[in-house]
Amino acid sequence: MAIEAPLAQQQSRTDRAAHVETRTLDTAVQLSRRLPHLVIRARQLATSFTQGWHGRKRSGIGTEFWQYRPYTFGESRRRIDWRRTARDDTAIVREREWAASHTVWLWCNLGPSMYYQSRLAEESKVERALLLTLALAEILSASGESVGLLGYKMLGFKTRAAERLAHVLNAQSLAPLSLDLPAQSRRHSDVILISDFLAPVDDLKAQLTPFIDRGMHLSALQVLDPSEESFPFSGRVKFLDPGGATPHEVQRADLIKTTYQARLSAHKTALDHLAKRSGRQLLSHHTDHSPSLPIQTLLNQIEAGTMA
Amino acid sequence: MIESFPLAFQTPWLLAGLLGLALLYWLFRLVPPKARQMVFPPLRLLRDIELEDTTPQTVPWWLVLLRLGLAGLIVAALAGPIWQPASTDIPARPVLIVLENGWTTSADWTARQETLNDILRRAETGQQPVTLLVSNPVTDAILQGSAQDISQQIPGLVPSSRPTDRQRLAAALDGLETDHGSLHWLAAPQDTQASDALADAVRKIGLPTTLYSGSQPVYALLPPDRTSDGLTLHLKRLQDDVERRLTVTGRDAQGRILFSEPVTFAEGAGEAETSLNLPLELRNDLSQISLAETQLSGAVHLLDNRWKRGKALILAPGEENAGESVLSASYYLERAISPYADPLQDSGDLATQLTGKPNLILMADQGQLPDLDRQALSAWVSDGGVLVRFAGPRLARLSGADNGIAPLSADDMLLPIRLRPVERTIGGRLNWQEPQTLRSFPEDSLFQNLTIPDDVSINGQVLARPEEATPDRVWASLQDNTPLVTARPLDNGWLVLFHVTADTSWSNLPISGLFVQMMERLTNLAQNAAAPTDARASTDQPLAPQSLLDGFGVLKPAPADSPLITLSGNGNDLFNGSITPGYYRTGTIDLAVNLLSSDSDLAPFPAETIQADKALYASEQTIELTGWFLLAAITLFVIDSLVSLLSRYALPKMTLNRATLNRSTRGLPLAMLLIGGSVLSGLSGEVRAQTLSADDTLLNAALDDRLAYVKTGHEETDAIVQLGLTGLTRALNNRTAFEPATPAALDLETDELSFYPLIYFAVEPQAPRPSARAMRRLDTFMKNGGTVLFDTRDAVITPSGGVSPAGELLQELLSGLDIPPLEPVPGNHVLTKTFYLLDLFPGRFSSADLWVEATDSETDGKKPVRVDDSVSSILITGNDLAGAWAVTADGRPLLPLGENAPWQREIALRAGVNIVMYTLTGNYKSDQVHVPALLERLGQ
Repeated sequence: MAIEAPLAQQQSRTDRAAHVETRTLDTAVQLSRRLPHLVIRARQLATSFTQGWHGRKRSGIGTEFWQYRPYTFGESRRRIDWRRTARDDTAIVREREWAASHTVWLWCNLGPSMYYQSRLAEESKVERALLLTLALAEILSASGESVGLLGYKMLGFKTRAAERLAHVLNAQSLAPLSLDLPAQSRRHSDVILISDFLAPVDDLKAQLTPFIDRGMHLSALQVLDPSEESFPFSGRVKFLDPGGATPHEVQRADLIKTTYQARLSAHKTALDHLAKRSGRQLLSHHTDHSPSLPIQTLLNQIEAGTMA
Repeated sequence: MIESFPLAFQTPWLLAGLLGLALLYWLFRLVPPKARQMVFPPLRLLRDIELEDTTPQTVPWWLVLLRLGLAGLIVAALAGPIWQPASTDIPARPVLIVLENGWTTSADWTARQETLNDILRRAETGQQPVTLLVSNPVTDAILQGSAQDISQQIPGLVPSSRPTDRQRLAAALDGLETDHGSLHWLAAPQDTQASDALADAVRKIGLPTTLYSGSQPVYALLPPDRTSDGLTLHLKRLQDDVERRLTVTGRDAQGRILFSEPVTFAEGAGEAETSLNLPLELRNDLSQISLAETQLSGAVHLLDNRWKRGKALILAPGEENAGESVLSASYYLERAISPYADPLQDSGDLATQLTGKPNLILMADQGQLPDLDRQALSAWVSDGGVLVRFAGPRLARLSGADNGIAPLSADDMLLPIRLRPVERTIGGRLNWQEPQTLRSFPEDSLFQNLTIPDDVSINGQVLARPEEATPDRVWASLQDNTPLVTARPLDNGWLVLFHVTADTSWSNLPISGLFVQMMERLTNLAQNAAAPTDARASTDQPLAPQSLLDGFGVLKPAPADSPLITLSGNGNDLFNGSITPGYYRTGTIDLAVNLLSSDSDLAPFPAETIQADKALYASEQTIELTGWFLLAAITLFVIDSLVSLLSRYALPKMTLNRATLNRSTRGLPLAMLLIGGSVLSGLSGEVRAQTLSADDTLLNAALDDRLAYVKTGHEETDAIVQLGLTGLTRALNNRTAFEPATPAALDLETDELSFYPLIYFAVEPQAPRPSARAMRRLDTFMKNGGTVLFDTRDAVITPSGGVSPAGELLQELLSGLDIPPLEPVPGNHVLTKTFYLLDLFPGRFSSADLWVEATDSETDGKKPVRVDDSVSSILITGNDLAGAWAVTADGRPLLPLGENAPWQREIALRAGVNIVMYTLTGNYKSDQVHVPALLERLGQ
């Protein structure tokens, strides 16, 4: 449900139970009001992570000095370092280290299931996911990477990425982002997916296979509410679906806890398996935990991929 | 009542509430607790989880039972359960009922009525005819008829205020044609003379008898005794053995309480008495003494004129023409006796004066009495009069043997003692003896315990014959043991002789306080001695009842057809029970007839000696179970709460599901409310809505001091004035000890004005005119000490010598009010010095004067500050003070002033502070102004 096409979502929305819809829409509006606040938090979060340019350990386009070498005939005269050449008889060319910027695609699930927040957590899943997305955009753009937003199909926030990203999201009223392969996709670029990944694994697989086939590195961060993990319900409970699917009534919620947890665990394993196809692990994060932990892990994953 | 199970309900229809139990059961058992709605995103994961046990958890059966029982108990308790032992059956024969309704039965009369009803009800079911014998009937002594007829007459049966007339019952039983099957004897608790006769009559009839007796205590108040300084109350009781404290209340004729005295029956004691001090003046006013705790006619004692203030006849021979001489004996006697008795002046003919029924005759120095007078006096004394004689030269002469007449006996001379024919002079000019003082009074003297002042001295006396001055006759004597006051009873009365004169020629006793106290004691003696006299005086006269005591001890006007009574013999009939107690009138005198005399006995009725089934009165054997039912319900509720708590906190693993229990706990009070509420609403009838009309505005106005202004209705003006007063309030808070709250806006028509010391009235010609009523209220406010500051705010626009529109309006407004003469504030007015020293009172303008009430011009110039006791109730200015005070919320001035604005604004604020201080402190500062001068003077 989370990764359905936008059109299908619009359609299903109209079918939903009124109160669920109201709740989600209200929350989306409230959330867009909190975007500035989220941007600030994201920046604060970003300051604790410093990301440098990645030197390519060979000469190329870059700003760092790499080596001097004699001018070879046929080269452009503009490449001659005249100051150095003046000291000798031979023309000397100054070579710089090749510093290539990396492309990182971000995707954040803004579907209705992400608006869930139990009493155990201080913020909803979507708020945490947005925070992580903005913080990552800020950090990565500050370190010179080219950051893009999947679904928005646009590449190239280089500076003040969090703020600009927020503007974009706000302009679209936080409409859910589609998970399509971007046109300018390149091999070895990174894709960071932040979602609760509660949709069926097969659907996910279908959506993600193009990315894997293209040779992109997928980092998947699963954001869950603590109650989704611990299932703290008992007695007779009627479970409603935020996406508007048929409610499900359970007579003795406490009795199905273990079964549920086993199923969730199986779901996670399947997801992890999917993630491993692109050479990465599935990361798990709960909204009652500190947001800096998954950022560090994600950055490490990207760093490792870049180095590879 | 339920057959063979003695449980009855007072309001059985309330048991219909038990139907609600079914509803409760349905709630508990059949309807599962409602599911909680819970949004849960991973819903897909648990969509198809199969649960082995899908039946919803319900409340366990024992909890259902507990709660149904709880609700059932409450419903049953509301229905008023009564436990009632089954009454014995009445044989199907005519029923004979003997009802005693003497005065002792009123304590538990309702129970007797219920018992009677019960008997009649049982008789009615069997259709037996009933014969009812009444001991003290209002109309018929024997009632016969069907049970229904009789029960209709029960409300007419009331307890009598006389003793139970068992003689009448015995006679009635004797003359009764009997084919009755059973006899029910509703006995009074008191034994009477005819008890045996009635018991015999009952035995003779030989019917199966049931004797009903109650255990309600009976208290009786016997006639009180008079003591020298108050009363002694005597009480008796029946059917009560524990220590009990009762209150005896004395009332005057208007029903006002004169005393309220506790009397305590010791445990096991049948009698109690207590003495209380009651000044004679109050005692004279007593009209009724009663026991507060009971409604028995025997616990009420009526008092009449015999109890009241006595009359003292003062005989002073030879002084008829002396008039009001302050030296005459009658003057002293009258002054001394008047606090305790009404003095009757000597008017010549003694026989005529005796018809005025004096209790006390004070006779100043009197020689030989005419025979007729002597006989009349003698008869009067024998009848209970007290004759107090005083010595003097005439009496001394009379006693002398030198007049040739043989010495008369003391009786003949109406003297308590025979005298020696000498007159003794002590401490005279030719005498070496010192004037004598008094010895303390002997123990059995009427005057014992009176304090003798040191300065009472006796210069002369007549001497008693020593052989007759026996100690019992001497009430007072001098230090040398010669008698000063002697007394002797004569039949019912007393002869008393003071061996000194009633004027100051022989002693200063008549002008001492002791003399007055002696007169009080003598008045008491006279009243006590006189008591029987009046009763006898009214013998053989028909007495018309005026007001009568009913069976519950309430004095009611006598019915028009009450028979006249005649007292015969010596008046003992007053107490024998054949007369209803109350007030009876003979001539002009109201005579009190009481139920009990001093020797009345209160013995218990010997029920145990009667051969009969014993039974108690109805209400004493029924047990109200409401309280017990409620107690049981509360116990169950506590158990239920404990179970809920335990399952929630202590025993989370209980088989009982927590959520379901919680849910059902929420349902229970609702259901109980439904049932209990419907029942209660039926019981309580209308539920009055509470109308809490606490006016917050009034409360605020009263709790905090604040400035106030009159709302003119002109928006701009009101806003400026509001801001102006806010500015002044701020200044006051900053500068002075007076810290007013935010200013109040007043509507003269409706708002209460009295809370505000100063009201600012901006005269606004464009605003709607205040009504006459509003101005009248403002006038009242000013009259009652409030101050109104009128501001026409027109100082600049006033045409010279003319009147501005605001001025005209003010003149018109004030024309209807009572405005004192005004003057501009003089330089020495206290307004100029209450806080700041000022000579001007500017506002936005400074050209107008501040007008105040004019003070007297006489004090001008003499004192530095005018002494003006009251604050001027009216202040008039045209300077627009509020405009100058007005500040915006951030403290900047609102309106522009002329040049020199800051300083003028400051002065305006100071003027405002002064005005407020002036209204609060009045002329206080005018006194303070003297302080430096006084201090300077003190320093010198």
